[in-house]
Amino acid sequence: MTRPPGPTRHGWACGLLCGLHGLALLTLAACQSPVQPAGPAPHTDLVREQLAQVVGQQTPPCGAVLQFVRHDRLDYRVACASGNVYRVRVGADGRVVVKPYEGSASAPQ
Amino acid sequence: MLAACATPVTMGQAGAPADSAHTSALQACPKVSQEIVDLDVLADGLKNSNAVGLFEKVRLKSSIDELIGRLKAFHAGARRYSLAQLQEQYDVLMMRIATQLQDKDLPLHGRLCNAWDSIWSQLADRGRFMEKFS
Repeated sequence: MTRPPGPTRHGWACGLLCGLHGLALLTLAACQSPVQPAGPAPHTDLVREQLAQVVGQQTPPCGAVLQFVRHDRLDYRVACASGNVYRVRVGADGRVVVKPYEGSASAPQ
Repeated sequence: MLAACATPVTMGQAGAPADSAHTSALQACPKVSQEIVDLDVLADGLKNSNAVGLFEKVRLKSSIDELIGRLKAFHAGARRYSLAQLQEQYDVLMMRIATQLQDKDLPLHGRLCNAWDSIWSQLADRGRFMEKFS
């Protein structure tokens, strides 16, 4: 009589241990991300943060800056979480001008 | 249209000019009797200005210190940010400060406008930076 193919006792133990091992690894991986030290912020986040402050000073509400495009030095197109889009630039006299972009919801009708 | 942007997307530097060689800004700064020579003088001016609230003063000081920290790292050899990126970070911080001052403290705003580029030159120059901040 031949024994049908199947897991041996040793095989079951290994399966259980490997499963536990895998579970432990997954748990470790899941737990690792919050305790990892925060690295330096990406450049774009730093710029977005400052642009949000600039726009928020002049034309609230803006909320977070979702997107920005730099057209020239000191000249940006800024899209806010509020849905408004602004042109933010520095004039020749050093004044910061924030104006709704043409065609955006915040532009004067 | 923008509402469709559920997740924040950053265009950032895409298509941005690599250098600040040409800008139409800062060509007509008001004349000032007293110039700001570096970031410390600017920070002192902000500290004594009534145009900026207490909490904003603390936040601005923190932002200035963080930028100096990033520049220190750059001049020490770290390349997390390029010099062009650091200049952009400097510019947007100055824009934030200028926004605070432009309607409430014209003398300081004028001084900031005049010093905008010269302060950056000082920060970007490794020798001058290390002399000042090491």
